[in-house]
Amino acid sequence: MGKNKKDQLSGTLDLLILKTLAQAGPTHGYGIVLYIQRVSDNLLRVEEGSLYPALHRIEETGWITSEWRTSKNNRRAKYYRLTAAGRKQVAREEQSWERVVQGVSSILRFA
Amino acid sequence: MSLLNRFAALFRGRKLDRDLDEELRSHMEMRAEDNLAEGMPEEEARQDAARRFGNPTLIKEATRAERIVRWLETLGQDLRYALRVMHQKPGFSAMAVLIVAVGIGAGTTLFSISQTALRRGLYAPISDRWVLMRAIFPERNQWVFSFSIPEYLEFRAQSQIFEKVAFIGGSGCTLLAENSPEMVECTRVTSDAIPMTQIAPLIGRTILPEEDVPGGPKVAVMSYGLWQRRFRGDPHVLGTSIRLDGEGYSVIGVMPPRYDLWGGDVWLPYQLHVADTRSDDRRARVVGLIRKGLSEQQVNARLRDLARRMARDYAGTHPEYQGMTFTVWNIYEAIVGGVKPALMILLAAVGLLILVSCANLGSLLLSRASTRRREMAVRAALGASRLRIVRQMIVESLALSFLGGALGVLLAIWGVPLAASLVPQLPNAGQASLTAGALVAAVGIAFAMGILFGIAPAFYGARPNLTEAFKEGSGQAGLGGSSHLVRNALVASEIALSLVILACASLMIRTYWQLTRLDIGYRTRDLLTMEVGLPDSRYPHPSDLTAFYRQLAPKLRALPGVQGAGVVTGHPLADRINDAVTQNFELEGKQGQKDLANANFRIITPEYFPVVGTRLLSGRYFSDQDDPDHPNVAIINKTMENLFWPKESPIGRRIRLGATSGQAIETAESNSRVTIVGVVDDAKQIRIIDAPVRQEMFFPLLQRGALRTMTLMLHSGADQATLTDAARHAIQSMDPELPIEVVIPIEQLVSDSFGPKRLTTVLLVFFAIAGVTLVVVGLYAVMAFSVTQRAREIGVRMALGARRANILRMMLRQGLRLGLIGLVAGTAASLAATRVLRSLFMDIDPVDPLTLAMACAGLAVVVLLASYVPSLRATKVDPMIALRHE
Repeated sequence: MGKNKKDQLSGTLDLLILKTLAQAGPTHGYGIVLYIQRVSDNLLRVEEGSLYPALHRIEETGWITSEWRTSKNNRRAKYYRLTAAGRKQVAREEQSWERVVQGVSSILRFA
Repeated sequence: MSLLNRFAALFRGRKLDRDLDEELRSHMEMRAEDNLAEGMPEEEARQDAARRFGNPTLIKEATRAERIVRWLETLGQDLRYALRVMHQKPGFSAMAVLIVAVGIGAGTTLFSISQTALRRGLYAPISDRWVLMRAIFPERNQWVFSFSIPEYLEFRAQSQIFEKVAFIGGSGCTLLAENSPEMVECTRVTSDAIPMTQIAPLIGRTILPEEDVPGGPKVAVMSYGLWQRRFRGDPHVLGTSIRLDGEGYSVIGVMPPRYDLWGGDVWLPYQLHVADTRSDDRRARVVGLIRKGLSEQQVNARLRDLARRMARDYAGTHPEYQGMTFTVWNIYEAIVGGVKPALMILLAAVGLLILVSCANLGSLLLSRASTRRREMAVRAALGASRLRIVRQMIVESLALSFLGGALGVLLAIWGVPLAASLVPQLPNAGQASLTAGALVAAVGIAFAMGILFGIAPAFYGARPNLTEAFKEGSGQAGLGGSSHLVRNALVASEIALSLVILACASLMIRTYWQLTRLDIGYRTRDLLTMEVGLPDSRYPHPSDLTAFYRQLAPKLRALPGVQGAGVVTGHPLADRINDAVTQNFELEGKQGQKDLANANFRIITPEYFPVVGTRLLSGRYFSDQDDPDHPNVAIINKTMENLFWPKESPIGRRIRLGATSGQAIETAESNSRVTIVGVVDDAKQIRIIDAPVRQEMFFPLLQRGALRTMTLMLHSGADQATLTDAARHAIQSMDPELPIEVVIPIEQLVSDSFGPKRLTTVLLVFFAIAGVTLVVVGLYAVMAFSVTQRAREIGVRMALGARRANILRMMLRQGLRLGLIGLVAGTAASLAATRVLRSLFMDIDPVDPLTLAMACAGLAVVVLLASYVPSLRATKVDPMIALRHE
């Protein structure tokens, strides 16, 4: 419930996180920041201040799970990973996002 | 995350926070490392990492908030769903809620009552050391709670045992304030009595040692109740004078609310004449405060030495001391003693009832869980995790149990005063209301019930074997063997537990019934009592008293609706720690050890026996001719006849009267000879109805003289209020300043003396009814469910030629098998339980096969009925519909 009604801004961050995890596999918080920054050519910068609340919110929803692992440079970090439900959610959110984008761009076109 | 994990998380909160701390730190350190790798100086690398991060505390808080919000959101979801499910099946939900309400309501009520009754209140700090002295004179077959002044002084000298010892004696007296007289309880105390309780006066001071001497000042300490009632709580009452029995006393202090020392309204200094050596005049109680660190056994051991020494020292003057023992009686035990066993029994019974309702709810939820198995399978297939389903089920059962708990607490709010009113002598009965402790217990039980009975069915329901669940179709196979077993075990134990309650209740009913039919030696209806006390000031001479009561009796008899009026000393069915007035005597021609002979005595008017309905066994009643001009006479009771004249008739025998004790009897003419003219049947003397009757003598009022306070006995069918008014008029026509008490019907005195037993009986009966109702509900539910579940099987059987009778028998057998197992287990448990009951109430048969058999038979009928109705429904199954139904 409420999955689609969630306000679009935080929904966007959630979608970015989910998409990152879907493409990059299990990643820690810092890795997600770097990934989004890199893939968006430095256009999108995720604030740490909103990243972690979002991560925990999504985890509570059950779309991602986490575990402590050792990173490549031998540092302990918490890795997030998509669940099956999360994967379905990515597909759904992508669709709804595309609808939003379509809607916005058609309005822009006619404006 | 499941609800269980979430509950755990509430306690793990700190661990989660540490987890988050570490996560954020690892993020910062990784960023700092990258910065370093990009060539930033170390310090700057660290600062940049921190700056980008902003305020870690804010992040942490936001993250934490997300967690809680998310949790509440899903909880809300589950709750909404639970309510929807409840709404869909209102019958089921109402039943479950009621089951919980019955268990929790009964538990909360009883817990509140016990807590209130067993509360030590004001005296808690000294309650372990505060004792009342008692003595047993084995030679006289007598328990003694009152002592003489020399005996009190002996106790007071035991300073290695007692920190303080006080002498306390009470009597009614007339308070005259603003021209309206009122009978109040005047308690005379030595100066140590109030300080012993370690409670300071609300205002003013208490009695000083220098005031407690013969001829000392007349001072009074007042109770809070009297101060509020008569003086409107005016603090200026200190130093003013009040009139008690015509004498002026100056008020020096007021005690705090609920302070209660021997029921006093006013406490006056005892002002003992220490030189008074009449050690037969046992007029007051001795209370003591045991020194810290001494156990009751140690105290009693030292008192044994004291008793032995006194028996030796006073062998010449006090033969009754021979073999005497002193023991201390904790005051708290003395007050609560009577009701404690009753409360313990009831608490145990209510515990059983709660277990029964637990078992009931459990089997009900298990039944339902299996019908919802498909729903669960669908949800699991749609991606719900197993834990999520378990959580959903637990939220549902919690919602049920909390609704039931709330209803139960409402029942208790109404039930506590009701139950307390059954036992007027329950300590603090007036203040009985729902206690905080009981409320906490109710919430705890509701919570435990919800969790426990949510988890069990939830795990059956959440078993992730989807294919099987779908294959099972309409669920004729249900939850499979193990859940059947659990449910059957629950129902069987429910029957067993109910049988225990039922057996105990029947036993109590039988005992109570026997008690109420017991011949107490008085008529038990149409008899009313009223106490009248004449003040010293206006009736200075004993002859004034006798004259007053002699005139009063005919006036009362003349009242409309009154068939007879008698006057007697003391009170029928007195309090159990009130000593009777006793009299020593010698049998004529049998001197020697005979000065040990002692009996209770009462002074009566000739009408007394016919009025109260005590039967004459031989000889005659008193008449108006038994006055000072005729030979002194006495009537004795049957116990006294059996004791002293077992083989011959006592009529015409003469006895020589010796000293009296128990109460100051100014009028008693000792050393006179009386002739026994009659023997009457035994009549109960004290409130514990099961205590044995003691030997007793009666003297005519005209020969022996009246006491200041006498009890009027009225034989009348009129009601309490009418008679109180009529008697008040009659008495005030003789003396308008005399305070009047209410008349008390004998029924009330009798039923008061049954108090704790009545409470136990009524509540046990209530619990038994509740238990049996729960059994009906539980068994019915299980059977009805089983019929639905086996509908297809039954359809097949019928299609193959089984007749309705076969089906009925098959279904009944299932119910009766459960019933039989329950009854067998219950019988064993009942035998043990009734033995416990007997150890607490002495007068109950330990194993009463008839009662137990009747309880068993009753429950068996209930079991039969509860399984018959659903079984009958099984025979109505239409094989075509059952087979097609999918």
